[in-house]
Amino acid sequence: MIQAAVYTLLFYLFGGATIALALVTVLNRRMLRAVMGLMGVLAMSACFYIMLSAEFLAGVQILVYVGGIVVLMVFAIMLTQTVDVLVEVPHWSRRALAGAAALALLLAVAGLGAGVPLEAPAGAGIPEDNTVAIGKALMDYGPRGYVLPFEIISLLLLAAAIGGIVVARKTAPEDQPLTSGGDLADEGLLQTAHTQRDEEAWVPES
Amino acid sequence: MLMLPELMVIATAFAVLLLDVLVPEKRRVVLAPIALAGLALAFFALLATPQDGELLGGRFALDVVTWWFKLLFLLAGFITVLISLDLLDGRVRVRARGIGFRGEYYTILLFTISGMLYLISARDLITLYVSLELCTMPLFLLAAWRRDDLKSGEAGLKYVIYGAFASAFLLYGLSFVYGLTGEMRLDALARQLQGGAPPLLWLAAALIVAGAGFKVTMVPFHMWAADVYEGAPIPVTAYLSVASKAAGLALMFQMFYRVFGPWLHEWSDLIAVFAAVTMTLGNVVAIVQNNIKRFMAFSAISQAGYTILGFLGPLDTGIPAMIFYLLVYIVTNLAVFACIVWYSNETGREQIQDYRGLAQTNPVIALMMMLGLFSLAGIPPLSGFVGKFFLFSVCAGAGYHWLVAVAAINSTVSLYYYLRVVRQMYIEPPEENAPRLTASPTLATTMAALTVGVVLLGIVPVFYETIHGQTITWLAALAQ
Repeated sequence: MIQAAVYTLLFYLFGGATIALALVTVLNRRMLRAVMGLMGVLAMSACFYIMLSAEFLAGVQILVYVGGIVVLMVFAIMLTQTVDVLVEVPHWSRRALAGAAALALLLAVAGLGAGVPLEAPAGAGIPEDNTVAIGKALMDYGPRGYVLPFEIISLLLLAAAIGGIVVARKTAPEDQPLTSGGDLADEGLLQTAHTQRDEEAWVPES
Repeated sequence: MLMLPELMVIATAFAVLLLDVLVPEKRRVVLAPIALAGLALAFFALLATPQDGELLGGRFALDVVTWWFKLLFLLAGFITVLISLDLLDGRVRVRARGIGFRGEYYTILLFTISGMLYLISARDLITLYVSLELCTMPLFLLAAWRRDDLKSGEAGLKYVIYGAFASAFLLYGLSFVYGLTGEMRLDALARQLQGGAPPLLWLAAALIVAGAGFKVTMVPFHMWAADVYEGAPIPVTAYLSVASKAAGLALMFQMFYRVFGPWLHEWSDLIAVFAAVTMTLGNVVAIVQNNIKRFMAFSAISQAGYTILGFLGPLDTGIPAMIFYLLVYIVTNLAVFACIVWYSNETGREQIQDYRGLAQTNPVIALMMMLGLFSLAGIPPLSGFVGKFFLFSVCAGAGYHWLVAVAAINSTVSLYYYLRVVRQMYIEPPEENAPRLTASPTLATTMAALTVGVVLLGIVPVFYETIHGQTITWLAALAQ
């Protein structure tokens, strides 16, 4: 009895905190504070996972999202000084429109979702050792397994990593004659040495 | 065996990636032929693959429609590599801006193709979503491939932000579907929902349509198209205009026919309105465009409006009409884009006025481009006309005569703006001393082959008849 009461209390506590932190993320004009809000939201989701006794998911949530992605965002913000404060405030009409759209979606979800019976489907209980179960499901190539999406995600990550490196590289490597300085070179913004090297190497292959 | 085409594409991607490391820069011209060979092998593997069967406990399946979609994806990928390789190998007259990294380019391109192949074969929500991301997320990077070019960077950034937003909508909708049924498998989902659809399912469907509509550039989810098309390197723009659309259509197909099938007719009115708005807005805005890439973006939006007409009809006419139109659209749009790529490679220009007098300097290529544009406008006997004819007849068969009228008026409007380009090429005089431009053998062959395709698809009925016949046999087998 007391356990159930504490459970409910904790649920509402975490729920309220999630909503408050999400609002901080969306409404705060300072990037760093918004990211901290986001970190809170992600940590709160980990709490929900623990309450649902999905400890593995909670651990992954903390490791990947809080520990990895948010830290990456903080790095990105720290390294680009100019975007600390979002100076441009959208016109009030656009903000009102965005607010109205968000409210409409919220009402639609709440209104339509209210009539749905929230019961767990039959046989959807959590296995005792759900970490093992997740590991097995990821590697299982039978009808209950997820090996195909798992492998597809690995391809996606590889493609994203390769592309990200190409796009983010500041200069082309030495033996890359095809990459020019682009717009910046035309405006004389890049060092001449850099463009000169490109010019010399610029021999169309036939 | 069933997964052979996918595995071949992925193996080729890795081969290209590794060779890029091992081979010195000067010899990296071999990468494009390897990518082409891999895609061709995958194509033949697909031809040898049975049109029916499943793997991995039913998570990966093939049927007639899946098979045809895969054929289209491989075709689109193959042509894209063909029109990219001159630019990436530096066989251009006007210096390319900040484009390079051939190996990485082809690797990512091949990965997105494999993503599309998995997307249409997926039979559960997670695989569906993950493979959709595999075929669209690397496109964000390809759009930003012209490093140091501000417009390309802008294109990549806008695409990422809008794309993430659309993905979030899609995922939200899919999570509702899962929450309502507790099922991941599409067939099990459809069975669960047969008992009756709670109202929340409508919201889920709306969110999924928003996510898929973004990929298809359906109005009002089209906002990204013009800027991204303009900023991306032209071969990437060409690929985006067919691949993103085909992927979105494949997703809609998977969700509409396999899961929401029983209610599709209830949404017909909404789909009709979406189609009408999409084609009208695309056409009206295309009239005032001056940049040929933006122009093609709005043209592509209006074509998306025609394509979704196929969802109005019953399966046995709607599916073949849509697949055939997609085939026609891929061939025609890439034919026009091949000409645009060629012109940009030779002159570095991409405004519509820049094409003036092309018929006098390069009459053959001007003719090919004109045929492509006329096919997009739907002038008989070119393939665009036949494709539209089948879609319009599906639409009329479903009782939407007003929509057929709207579509016909739109086709007329579109003829006006496609003629703007033709007018520049044929009526306006060329610039003084405008030189006769040469075309590289690859691009010339590609343009010629695609133009032949544009004409042949229109006058030889065998393609549509095959798709139609196979679909009917498949549906008959399903009904038993």
